[in-house]
Amino acid sequence: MKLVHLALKDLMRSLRSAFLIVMVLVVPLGLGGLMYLAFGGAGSSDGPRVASTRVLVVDRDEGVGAFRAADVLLDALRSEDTRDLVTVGMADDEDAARAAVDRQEAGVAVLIPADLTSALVERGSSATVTLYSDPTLTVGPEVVRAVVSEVVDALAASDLALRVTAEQLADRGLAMGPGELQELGARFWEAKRAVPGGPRGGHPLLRVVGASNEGDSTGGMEFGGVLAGLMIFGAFFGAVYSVESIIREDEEGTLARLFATPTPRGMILGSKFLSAGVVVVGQTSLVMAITALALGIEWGRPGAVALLVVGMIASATGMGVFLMSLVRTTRQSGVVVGAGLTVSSMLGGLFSAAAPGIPEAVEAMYLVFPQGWAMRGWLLAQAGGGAGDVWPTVLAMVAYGGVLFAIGTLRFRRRFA
Amino acid sequence: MRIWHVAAKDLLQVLRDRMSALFLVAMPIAFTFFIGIVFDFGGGEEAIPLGLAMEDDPAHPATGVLVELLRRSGSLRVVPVEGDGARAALEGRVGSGALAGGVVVPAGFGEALLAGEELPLDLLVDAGSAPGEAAESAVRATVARLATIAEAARLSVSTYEERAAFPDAAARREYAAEALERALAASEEPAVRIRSEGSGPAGEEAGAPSGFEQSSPGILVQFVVFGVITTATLLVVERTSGTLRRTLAAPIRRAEVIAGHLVAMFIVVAAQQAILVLFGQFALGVSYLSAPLAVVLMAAALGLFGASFGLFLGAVSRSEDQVVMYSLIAMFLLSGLGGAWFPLDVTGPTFSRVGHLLPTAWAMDGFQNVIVRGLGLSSVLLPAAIVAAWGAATFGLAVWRLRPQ
Repeated sequence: MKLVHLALKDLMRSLRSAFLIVMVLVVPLGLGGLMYLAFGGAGSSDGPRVASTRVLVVDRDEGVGAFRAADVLLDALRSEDTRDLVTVGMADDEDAARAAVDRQEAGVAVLIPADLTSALVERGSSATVTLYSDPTLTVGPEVVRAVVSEVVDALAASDLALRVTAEQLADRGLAMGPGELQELGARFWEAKRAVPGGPRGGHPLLRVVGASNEGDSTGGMEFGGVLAGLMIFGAFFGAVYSVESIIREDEEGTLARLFATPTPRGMILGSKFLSAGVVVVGQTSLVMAITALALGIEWGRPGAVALLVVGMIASATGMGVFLMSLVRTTRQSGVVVGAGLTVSSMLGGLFSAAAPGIPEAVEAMYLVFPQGWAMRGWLLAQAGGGAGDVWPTVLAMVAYGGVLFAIGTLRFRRRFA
Repeated sequence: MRIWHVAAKDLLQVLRDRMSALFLVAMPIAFTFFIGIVFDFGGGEEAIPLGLAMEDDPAHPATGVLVELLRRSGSLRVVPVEGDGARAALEGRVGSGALAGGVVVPAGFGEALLAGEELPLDLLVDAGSAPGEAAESAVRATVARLATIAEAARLSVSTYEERAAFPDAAARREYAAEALERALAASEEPAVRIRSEGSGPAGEEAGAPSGFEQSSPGILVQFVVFGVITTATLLVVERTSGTLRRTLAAPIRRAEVIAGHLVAMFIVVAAQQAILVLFGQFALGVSYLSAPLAVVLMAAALGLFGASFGLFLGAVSRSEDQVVMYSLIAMFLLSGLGGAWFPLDVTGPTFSRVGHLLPTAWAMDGFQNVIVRGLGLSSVLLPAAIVAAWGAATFGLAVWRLRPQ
């Protein structure tokens, strides 16, 4: 019972700290909400998730006869499929269009040359469509390039098909005359499939299947990973801050008085461990509950979640005991809690592990830190892994926590012997 | 002169505190380097990882053309996913974010393509994410090219068959394979080319900011907000310990004390920015010095805001813990909303507009006008003015808070 009383005392003191509440709850939930607003939530298909890019077109195409290739290009840019992604306007000349992009009044300038149609219709010539874009933009220029490429490819299809056919037949002694080629070109256009639409237009050769967020258990994976990182950061912070009470009590003199009572020193340290564990359980439960209800985040199967919470308790409190064993004053602990925990969280991948394309060497570095193992475990759980999938990770977390706890306890025993 | 005495006292205290070096220099450099390596929003040389699961015969000429087109795409890096459960593995890796997208080539795709039948590829992608959008656009463009090449091959085969019959199926297949190869080669010499240009440093192909071009100014802006912890703490300690009252009992005006603290904070922030700019320029290759006057102006405006914010922080906080807490909250909000962590153009339109209400977004715009867009002094005038206005407003709040009680 003494253990519980001591732990309750520490817990009450911790919960009265606005700083702790802010760091373990407000920051993870607030930042999570901010990310949710920024990226529209995982898998949301309601409306555009990126800002529309303003596109300025300079049209110099002189056409051939009644046909102008630039008209086809403009129709594609203005199609319903691209309406959410690009807003098209016209510019008088190249300099004005480029200047508008430089002033960030437009994201992309599409410069259509005078000989665009003649290059497509009359064999032997070539033309260049220039895309002048704001280099700080990511999605918009890519979309515009894709649309322009599709249209140009479609228009150039006839030229390509006739060229290949004529060359192959000529190689086999079946050369075609100009009249035959013209007739063949006409047949080709009649048989050609529908011109592809914009980036969201369907293509008969491509079926887009959402890899996540189709009502399955992996809903919100990317965003879920971001939240997992924030939750782990808050849990570790809470545990380390709880254990910091040893340093505070030592400074205030109450620790010495506690040692003077018939209370085993191991029990005093154990109470810190217990209160830190309660903080971790409380923090993870609240964060998971609130984000599941408000944002639809699926944290994983109950067995996996329970195991991971146990692993977090062990690793976070072990880390707390170890870190606090290195310092003697609250001023020093401030540096450790603030800077040390933040840097180890960064290097452990809490702020980056959910991002795609992480170099393998960096992923290996994550596992040097207990936060890296925690992150790995939560990503597995969110991907649908069960207890059987996460237990090796949990084992690593417990082992890590155990070693750190042992080292920290030894140091404390020597200090307070 | 008394202003400089107060400022010098503060600077001396900052220099003697080992935490200063940690929060002002070591941490921002570490964060800049790490985040710049890990995150790349489409710039630099990193291509989008696209998984490829082949259920069709990989030796079929049509599937060979598909793979070749994907590999030649400048924006994609093809990652083969093999084995019996390739599709499921691909789904898992796309779902976890390890891949931006995944293409599954169904069995019989090659033959169907040459026959003109519709047997689509499956593209697994989170079309709502920025990498997913880019992967979908790139794959869509590749499929359109493939369709064009296949159409050319089909036309050639059917035209030959009108004039002479193939002796057997193998000869037909060989002819079709040759047609595909010729069409692929011809598509590399198109009648119309597309050239991408950007308003970045001369001669460079347009592209999104590289990792360091985002992380360097981003972390600089973030730690201007966070770095004032040390100087703000000094003011809090002076207020709470009674030192400030004793100082005011001396022949020094309140305005001089406030100005002294502000000057010290400005110098600290300016020095921090100078170190980070030089680190970015010489260690990471970020083009700050392409327009040095522009960077100085932007840094000065940001320094004014940072110093004013530090003064305000010192005025409203009642303890060192509160300084840390308020500065952390402000750092997260201003950095997260202001585009310091990720470009605002990958967020929704509303978020981007809200972000531009904050000085950090304008500071990022100003710095990136120089380092990414390659623009000069005139491009930072508006961002610097807005950031300076924020600084003036924050200073006003701080002075009001520090008014005689």
